[in-house]
Amino acid sequence: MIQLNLHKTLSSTGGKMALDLDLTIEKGHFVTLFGESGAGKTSTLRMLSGLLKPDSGMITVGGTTWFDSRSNIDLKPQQRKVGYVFQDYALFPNMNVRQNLEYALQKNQDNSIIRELLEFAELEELQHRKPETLSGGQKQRVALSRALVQRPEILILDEPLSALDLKMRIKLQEYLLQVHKKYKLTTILVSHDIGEIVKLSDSVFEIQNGRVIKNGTAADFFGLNKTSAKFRFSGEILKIQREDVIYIISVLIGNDIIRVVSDPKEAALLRIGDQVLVASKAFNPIIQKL
Amino acid sequence: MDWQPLVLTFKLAVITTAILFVISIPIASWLSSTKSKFRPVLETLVSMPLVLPPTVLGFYMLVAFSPANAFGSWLNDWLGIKLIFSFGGLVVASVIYSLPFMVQPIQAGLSSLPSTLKEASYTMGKSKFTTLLKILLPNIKPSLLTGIVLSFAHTVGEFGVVLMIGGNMPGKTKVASIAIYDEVEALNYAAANSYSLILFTVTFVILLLVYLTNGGYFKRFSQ
Amino acid sequence: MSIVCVEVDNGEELMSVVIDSPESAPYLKKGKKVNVLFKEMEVAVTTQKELNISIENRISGVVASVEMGLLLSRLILETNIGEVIAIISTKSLKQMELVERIEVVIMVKLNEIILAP
Repeated sequence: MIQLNLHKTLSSTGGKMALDLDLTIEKGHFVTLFGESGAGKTSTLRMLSGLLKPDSGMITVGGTTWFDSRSNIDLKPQQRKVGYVFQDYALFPNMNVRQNLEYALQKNQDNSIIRELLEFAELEELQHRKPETLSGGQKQRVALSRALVQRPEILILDEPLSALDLKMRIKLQEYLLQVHKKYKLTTILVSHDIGEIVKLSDSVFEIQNGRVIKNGTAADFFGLNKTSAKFRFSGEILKIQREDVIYIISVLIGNDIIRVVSDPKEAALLRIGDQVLVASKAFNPIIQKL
Repeated sequence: MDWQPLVLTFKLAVITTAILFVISIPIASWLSSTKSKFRPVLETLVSMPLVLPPTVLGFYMLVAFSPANAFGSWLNDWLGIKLIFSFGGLVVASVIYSLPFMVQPIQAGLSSLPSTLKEASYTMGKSKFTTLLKILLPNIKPSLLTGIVLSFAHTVGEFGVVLMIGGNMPGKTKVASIAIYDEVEALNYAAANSYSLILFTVTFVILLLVYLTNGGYFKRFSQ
Repeated sequence: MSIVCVEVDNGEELMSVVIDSPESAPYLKKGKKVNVLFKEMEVAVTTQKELNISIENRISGVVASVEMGLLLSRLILETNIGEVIAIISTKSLKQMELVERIEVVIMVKLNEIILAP
């Protein structure tokens, strides 16, 4: 279990902001920090991993104190050994894929994990390539594999998939889930993509102006459990089109576009780009074997 | 022609550059990452030789190293080091005088690297030293080369400081730039020309190599 | 699976079938408040009060306004449970000669009613 109690005055472009957070994360959970940019999500991750020092507060991980301003405990990032996947991947340009992974090996650590990770991430063929020659999705896989080399208990993912196209994003979401389960990680994700959050996380914390304003399980959080409808998906509105006396709303769900009929009254509340829930009763869809 | 001044010049330049390389990396590394309020002070001190007339620097070093003063006499009495009018003094003076030419390119190179590189290394349990050696320095090779070449070329071209602190002692402190001055004073233009031509050619070739290998980085830095 | 009776405004009752049971969904409890949702397209309209048909939910009302489209038409109906919108084909609208102020009964099958706690 990770317990965070963090106080820090952050200065950003919009002036100063007081971060004042209380978070408890269960061991083995996949947790998402959700909120506007500048709300303090990345700062929270940096404080957990020891890259940023809180003004005051406490961080305990599985009973060990990592930071305590009152008793002057402040473990260095080197001692915390958190698997951190940065938004810009932070791959070492002077090393090839394999060397990037090998660099992360700990003293006397068996290097069989390198082969295991390369194989699992389907990177074997790319292992001698330099990072600059890789695509975004490949870089992301390298960054993730590299973060796992030292067998961390906590994996931090700072908007890991935001720069990727949809197809790659969906593939890597699957991969993240597998990794989370396979290595029994406690994973903390920063993401804006509601579909992604619902798909990946056990629980969600919404952070606004340095404070947790809402938390719950992912499905509860976005209201997905608020109806008895069982045939439900979340997606993004791509198109709103009037047809006769009704509207047809095109919604991107995963990599499929579906179309839903909507009354003008409801359509008036919707905008292109909105994240929406599409639901129907389990009794309605037909099902056919392909 | 007397080759001694040229040999002395390049010996001085090689030793100075080597010392500068070793001491500038920690200075540049500290400057590029610290948030300390002493940073501007140190940055100013490092950059002073860029704007100060070499004679000013030479004068103060002369005063400081003189056995007539506390520091100079301490060096002399306790360590047996005599820095005025000696090759050792020239090295010390050159190191101080060329410091910004090594520190600044390295600092600029380190600052241009995304901070996530070293943060990633730290989260993998790697020490600051390992990170510097294995991650940061290998990724700023063009900056390191620029620093080495600039310091080397600058030391070769040094005149005022050398004259002030080293004087003009053949085989000890008489470097090429001073030999040229000497020959001109003696109206010995042919000898002055050979020294000058050699310095000109060597410097030209070194800089050309840097431009060719560094893909324009050096140009970007010097602007 | 459960069949749930929901008492709505003015003593009207709606029935819904849901996959959940009181064990799997804690909101399925007598006296618990829920919202009832159904799609406009699923609302059937009839002018006959007594119809021998397997549609469980029936509420009487009056046509308040009609918006006729080429293929579909949109009716706003005033009922005991408030305003209900029904979208039916323009063909049916003409055939049934539905105009404002006509008294009708709206019908919704029980599998179309979504409960939202």
